[in-house]
Amino acid sequence: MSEPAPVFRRIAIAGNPNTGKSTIFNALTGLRQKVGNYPGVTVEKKTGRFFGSHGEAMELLDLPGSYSLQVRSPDEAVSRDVLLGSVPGTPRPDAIIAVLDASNLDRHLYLVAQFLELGIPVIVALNMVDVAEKRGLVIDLLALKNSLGVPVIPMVASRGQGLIELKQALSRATLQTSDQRAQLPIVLEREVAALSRSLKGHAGSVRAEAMLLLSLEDDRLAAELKGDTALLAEIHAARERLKLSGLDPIAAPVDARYAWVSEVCASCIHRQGEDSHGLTFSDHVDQILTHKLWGWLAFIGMMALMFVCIFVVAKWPMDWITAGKDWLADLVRAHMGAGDLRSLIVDGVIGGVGNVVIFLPQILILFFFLGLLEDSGYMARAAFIMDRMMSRVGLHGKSFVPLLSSFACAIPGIMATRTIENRNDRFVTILVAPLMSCSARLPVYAVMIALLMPASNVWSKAGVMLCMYLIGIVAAFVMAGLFKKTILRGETPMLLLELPPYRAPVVRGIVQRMWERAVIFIRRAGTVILALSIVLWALLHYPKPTTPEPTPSEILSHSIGGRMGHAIEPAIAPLGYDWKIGIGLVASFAAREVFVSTMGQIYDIEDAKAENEDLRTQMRDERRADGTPVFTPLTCLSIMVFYVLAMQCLSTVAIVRRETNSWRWPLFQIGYMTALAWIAAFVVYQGGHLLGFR
Amino acid sequence: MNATTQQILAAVAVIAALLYLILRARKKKDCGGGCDCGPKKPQGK
Repeated sequence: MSEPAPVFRRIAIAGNPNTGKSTIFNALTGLRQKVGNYPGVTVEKKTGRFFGSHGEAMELLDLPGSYSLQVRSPDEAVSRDVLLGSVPGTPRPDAIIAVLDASNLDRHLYLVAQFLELGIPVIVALNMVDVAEKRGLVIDLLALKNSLGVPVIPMVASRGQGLIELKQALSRATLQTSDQRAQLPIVLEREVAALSRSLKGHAGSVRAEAMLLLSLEDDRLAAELKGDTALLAEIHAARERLKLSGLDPIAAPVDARYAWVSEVCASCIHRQGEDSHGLTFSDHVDQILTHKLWGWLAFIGMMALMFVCIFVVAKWPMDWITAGKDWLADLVRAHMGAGDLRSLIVDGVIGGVGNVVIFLPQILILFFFLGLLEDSGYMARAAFIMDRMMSRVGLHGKSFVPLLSSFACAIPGIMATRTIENRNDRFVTILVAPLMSCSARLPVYAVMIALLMPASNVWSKAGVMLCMYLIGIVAAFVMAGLFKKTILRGETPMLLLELPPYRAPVVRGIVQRMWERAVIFIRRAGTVILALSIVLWALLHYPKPTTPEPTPSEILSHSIGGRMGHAIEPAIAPLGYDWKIGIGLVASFAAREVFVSTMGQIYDIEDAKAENEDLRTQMRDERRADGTPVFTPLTCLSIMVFYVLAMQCLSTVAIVRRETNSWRWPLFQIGYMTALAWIAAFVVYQGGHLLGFR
Repeated sequence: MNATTQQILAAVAVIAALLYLILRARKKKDCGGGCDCGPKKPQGK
């Protein structure tokens, strides 16, 4: 085998996340890539080789995306350390390709400001110029090149445009470092120069290192210096001197860089389609949607509208499914004599599965709206307004995506917590994610709301449903705050969030995702829910009473399910539930939507004559021994609150076990959520009674 | 179909459902859970 050609130049490719770094990396290196880990951390090290425009071999290192060299995560620490040349086995790069998103230049230039301070030659790959153009941004490339003092290559990496020019720039015999950089206040510059002399590092990087050390928070500084007390004392003394002269050592360099970025942008970016204040359409909309008060009102308004549509639009398809279910049950009854198998097919299979499938239209509408909000760019705004509340309780900004995913299902939400680097922050998010109302709760809410307010208009119904979702959100935040102050303490890093411009959602994509959801839901109904319904049917029918001609009530009461319901009745009676609801609670521990199918089966057994009455009517007619209705408004509210807060999902338990690698956390989660649900349902039911409600 | 035949067939269906749930739980043990929600792309940034 021939020896690989000696490397002419080692180049690092760096930039903010989502700028197209990996696209350029892949386009340059093709299949000549190597993936490993940086020593001591689980951050991926991706290197590749390519040949310059004169055939010279170059090594390319793909650095993790970062917003600044001010470290907040292990990824960013790796980027900084590689560029400072302090990672064993990874030589300091000869040049940096700084990949910038041309449509977000004002945000992405901050990192370039820091690259220029490093004293390494920089080549700017100005990616996505087509997007910038579409947004009405005209970038004066010559002015940008002069302001930065480095080559600027306009690119559309996804289409391979600009790659040849980039290779040519990298192949030049010498690459110059730029002397353009943010102007620091003189006092700070003096301290940086003094500290640079005490640092032993690469001549080009000591100044940048000195600046970074001066602006580090105290606890991180101590960790960085690893016991170098002399240097620590020198830094503290420098900071004191800076503070005495009225400068904040942490904020001053940041301010100086932002001022420089503003100057550069002002000289080379011209915006078309802006008003006299330089604001785009998105900026105008954001003034309302990210406003402290209007933002929240808009958020709640949109959610309310979503639930109204869920009730209004879903009504027709739900009626069709109900009619289909009844027709199928009648067909079986007409062609089959009475017996256990007929009961299993009619009550267990058609009743059990049908009562869950009825809610498919509502779930699809929920996903349609979530898709609409996500694709239009609104979700990033929702994250922004939520972050204020989240950071107040100590939740990591990166928790938003997992929590948002949990509205669909807690399982992808919990899996998405892997992006949170800090263990405690991640575990807090895992512990509270199932409190967000997932789509499996929708059937329970819908049945209970129909019982609670049969004659009310859709706005009232949507309002109650919105309240349930909000109770879940508030409970998640309160519990997260509690966990962060007790068992999972830690500081909260700030969230850096890009607000993409608003765009028209692609309906085709949303419909495709709805279709995927529908397939998943139907598959689940036809497998797990079907199997659970059959097993439940057996639990609700066997063993049969020995008395001749037992009544349906006696059959249910004598069954294993009935006995389980009776056994837990003392624990749930204070919540306003009878033993039949108890059966539903126990059965739905496997999956929440099973509650609805269980109640359907129970009342089908009990009310054999009214087989074709819908579940809501059967539940409304259900009476206690004293003749009072079982499902009073307070009981319905109490059940809903219980389901908002209770764990009731075996699949989530399994995934938490896997993600935390221990049984301790899922068991703790079941314990705290069940206790919380019980207490909240108790407060609702007993408190309501005390206030005179029924 | 007489009552006894119905009883036997119902029992077979219940055993099959139970077996399905048990086998599914065993199969899913390695990958961590019984989720049918499918992989979901992390949204937004």
